[in-house]
Amino acid sequence: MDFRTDMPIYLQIANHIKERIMSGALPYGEKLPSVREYSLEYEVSPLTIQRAMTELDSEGIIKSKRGVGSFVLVDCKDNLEERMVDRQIEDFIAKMRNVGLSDTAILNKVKGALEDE
Amino acid sequence: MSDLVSMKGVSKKVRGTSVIRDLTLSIPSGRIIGLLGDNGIGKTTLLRLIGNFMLPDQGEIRIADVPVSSVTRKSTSFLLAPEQLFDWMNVRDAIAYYRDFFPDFDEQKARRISGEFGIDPQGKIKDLSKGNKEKVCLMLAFSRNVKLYLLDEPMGGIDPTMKRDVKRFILENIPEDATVILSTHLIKDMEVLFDQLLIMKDHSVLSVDAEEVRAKRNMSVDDYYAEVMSNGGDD
Repeated sequence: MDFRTDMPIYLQIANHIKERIMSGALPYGEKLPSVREYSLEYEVSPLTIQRAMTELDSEGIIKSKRGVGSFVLVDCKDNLEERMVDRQIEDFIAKMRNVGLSDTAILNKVKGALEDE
Repeated sequence: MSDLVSMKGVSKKVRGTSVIRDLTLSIPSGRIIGLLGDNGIGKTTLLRLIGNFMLPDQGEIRIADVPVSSVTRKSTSFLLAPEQLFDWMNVRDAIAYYRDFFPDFDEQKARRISGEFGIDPQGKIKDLSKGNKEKVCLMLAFSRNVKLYLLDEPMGGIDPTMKRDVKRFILENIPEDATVILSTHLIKDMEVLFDQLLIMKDHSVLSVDAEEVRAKRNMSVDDYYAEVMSNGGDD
């Protein structure tokens, strides 16, 4: 996988794993590959994988059990969808700020667009 | 968690010139660390100090809480430079030599890696290409089972297509919880591998977390390094 190097690698990996869960490539309840296996697959350090796992754990998407491994939570679908929505919104805000819009301007644009519908 | 390497107030002059001045630094276990800096700034000196191939003029260096000495040297694997290999040996002799010298040496691992690298165990070291000599050095260094690996420019003579293989090689062959400190100029090629960076400049060492650089500054390690080098790099 090619990473962007101007944003944390562990978040890109966490997002990639989320996409795999949403697409069904990683079924709910499934055991995830080990840190070492992921480290070789993504060609990053074990610590970076560990950070991605901690992130997914804290978002309520996987559950890590010491000595056993990590599992995709059976009921993580709602969390995942909520996170994906949050991410889209964050991306959108970042892009608009990049263009030079103030927060008030962004808000007004969105309001306007919603009213036009 | 106690640190794997800790340096306190370390100073070192080499041939009368101050290379490291009053350096205090700690390095945890389980990290892959990029040691960066201009040529001649003292990256090799720092690695040699940690590896106990050189003594500091002042200060103290500990590895897993033991002051550096012949004892810590036994628990540290220092990558040889290709020209340090005994030319007259064949690869199998070099493996036997390491096995006899280091109790932690895993001969089976050495044979497996040689096979993966396609290096003939009967081949004389002096007949190998520079790239293959470097591979022999990597094979020897990583066939030891230790907590700390010190690699000084491990990819000097390796052609570009091999760089990715070296990254994989390191990931495949480090024991769990071991730390690797690797000096390199190939920041762009290697940055995704690094957890932590040690940037040497003006006799001191700046230690930063690679993911923090990306998270807080929205910039790549490569760009951050260029910025540190062009200005003071102060926070």
